[in-house]
Amino acid sequence: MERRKRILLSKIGLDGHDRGLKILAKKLSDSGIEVVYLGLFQTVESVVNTAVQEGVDFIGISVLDGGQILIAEDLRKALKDRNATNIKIIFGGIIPERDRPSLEKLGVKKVFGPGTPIQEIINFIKNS
Amino acid sequence: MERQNKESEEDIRYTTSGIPLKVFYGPDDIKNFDYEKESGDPGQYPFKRGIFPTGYRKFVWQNSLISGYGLPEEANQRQKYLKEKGVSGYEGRDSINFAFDNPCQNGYDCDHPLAKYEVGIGGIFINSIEDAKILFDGFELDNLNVGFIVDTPGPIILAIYVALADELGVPRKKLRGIVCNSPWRRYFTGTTLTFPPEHALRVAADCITWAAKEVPNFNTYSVNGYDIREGGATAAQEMAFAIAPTFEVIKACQSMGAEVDEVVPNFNFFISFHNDFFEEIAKIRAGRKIWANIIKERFRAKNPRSYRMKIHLQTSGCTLTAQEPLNNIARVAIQALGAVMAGVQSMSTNSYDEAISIPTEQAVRIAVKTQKIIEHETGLTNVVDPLGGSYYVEYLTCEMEKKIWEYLNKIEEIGGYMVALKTGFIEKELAISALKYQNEIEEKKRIIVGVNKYIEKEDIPITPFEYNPRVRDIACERLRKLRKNRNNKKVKEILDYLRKAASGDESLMPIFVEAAKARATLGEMMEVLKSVFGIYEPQNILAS
Repeated sequence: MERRKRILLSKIGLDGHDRGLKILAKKLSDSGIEVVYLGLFQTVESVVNTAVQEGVDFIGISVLDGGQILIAEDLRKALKDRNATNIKIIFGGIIPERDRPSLEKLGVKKVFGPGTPIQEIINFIKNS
Repeated sequence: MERQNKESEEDIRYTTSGIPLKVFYGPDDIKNFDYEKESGDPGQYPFKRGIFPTGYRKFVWQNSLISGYGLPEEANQRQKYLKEKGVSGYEGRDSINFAFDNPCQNGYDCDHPLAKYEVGIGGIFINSIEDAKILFDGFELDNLNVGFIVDTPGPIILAIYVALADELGVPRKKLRGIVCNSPWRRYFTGTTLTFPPEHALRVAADCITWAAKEVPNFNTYSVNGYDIREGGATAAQEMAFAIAPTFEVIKACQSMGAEVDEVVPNFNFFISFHNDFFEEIAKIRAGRKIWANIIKERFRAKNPRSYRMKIHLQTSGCTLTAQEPLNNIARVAIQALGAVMAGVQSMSTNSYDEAISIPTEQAVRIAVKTQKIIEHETGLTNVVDPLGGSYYVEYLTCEMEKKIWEYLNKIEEIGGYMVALKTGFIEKELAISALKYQNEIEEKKRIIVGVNKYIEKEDIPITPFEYNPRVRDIACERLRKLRKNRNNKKVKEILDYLRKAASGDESLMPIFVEAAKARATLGEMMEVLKSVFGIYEPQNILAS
């Protein structure tokens, strides 16, 4: 049997908007994906440490307050330092189209904007 | 004649919060409705129809657009732009309604490691009185309605503002505005790293009671439903979860020696207008009545000013769509129209691009003008509570009253607001409501135009706001200079004194003011408080 996909969901820094992330955690979990819910006020270090310890396939970061580029830069560096670049990063939240090419260059596999059907996120995780 | 007012089983409709609806409403639906007792004219207890007898004839609502980003001088420029476009306070005053960035909301200066990603993004920062000086440049503090949308550090922000007024020679009694100073929702939505609730309550009540004497025309407590709504609450939950903690706040102020009539007139409601038009209006009418009733009957207030639920309303941010953003202009206009029909005192209309970025100048201009169009072109300012007496609206108002009371009673049964908060009851309720709403969208039981129906392949392109990428560096450099040039011995003395006062029960507000004048920073004062009070761990409760 195929191993269940595992994702860490979190917010980095001081952005307290977690309505969407909580819903996502519940829906991913209901779909059979294993969710490590780290929630609010994490640092890049705490996220990467937990991701490595828990052996997740994905790190999902929600950003609604504009920190996406800086966070992606720090995440990429921390994952390299830990030899954990096999963990795929996905972002969600209020992220302008304009930032997507830069985020892609920083190794972000996918950005899910507001209004994305959750099934689309589930399919992406299960199929990649 | 037999009225055809029954719907078949499969055709029952519901309001957004789940109240079942008939095809139409008539006299039978409000037959127990006693106008004198339950409604009264506008301006009469229980104020269901509005808090002023003449509605908008004497004063129209305050056009107070939320704003704030970047360096203080950038935020100041935006305020001057908004003023030019029509943002205005009461009685000819200017209006400024500042959102704060996450570091400030959490009580950190811009050079704190945790502040790295968010300085000047999503709001202004005030690290010290020097930032405040730049923010208000060109505005007369005695001719201003200012709003500070900041909670746990709110008392310190007010102290910095009062210190600035003192330095500029503006009498404290002439300061008007509101500081949110309402820590409650910060434990479960738009969460911040804040003190445990008992300590947050003490700091909030200290601010309210101090200001009642020192800055008596300033509103010092925001009964915040808006952010609870944005976190997923239904209309009834929004109103109930906003009102419930005020009982604790009033009791805390009383224990500090204040009378209910000294403090409650300076409470101000902060309410959302979501997309179910009549339900939102019913919520506001019901809320006004319940508030008046509670303050009169439960707290025995004598001053009618205490009974009046003054409302600052913001159109609903979470109803905006990133898809086809220009459609949001229509959403905001409809919500703002409803808010005016419900009779609010102040309003912030959202900009069409807010599901994408901080609003651009072009977008805020339309948001300001939306209010102006309603004010001048619709005739709505002529007659108070135009929906009063509508069978449907009165019925829905009664239903909403029942629902709000149900939640208030439930919280009492649990053991009061503090218990409801700490046991996660409120966070759980929000998580369940938010999930239900999302499921309805996913299952297309709830249609959101451009999101799950009428989806466009090609969007009309808009240009999102661009941040000044140097904000954090410049802010940190200024902070470094401030710390170098001030009298650090004096700052240390005041902060040491603050630590002692926080450990005891002395009022903290006068110390904040002195510290602000000595150029102590928000982060330094908050650091002292956090070291004494500790920090509350967010609960991260999911729906189950």
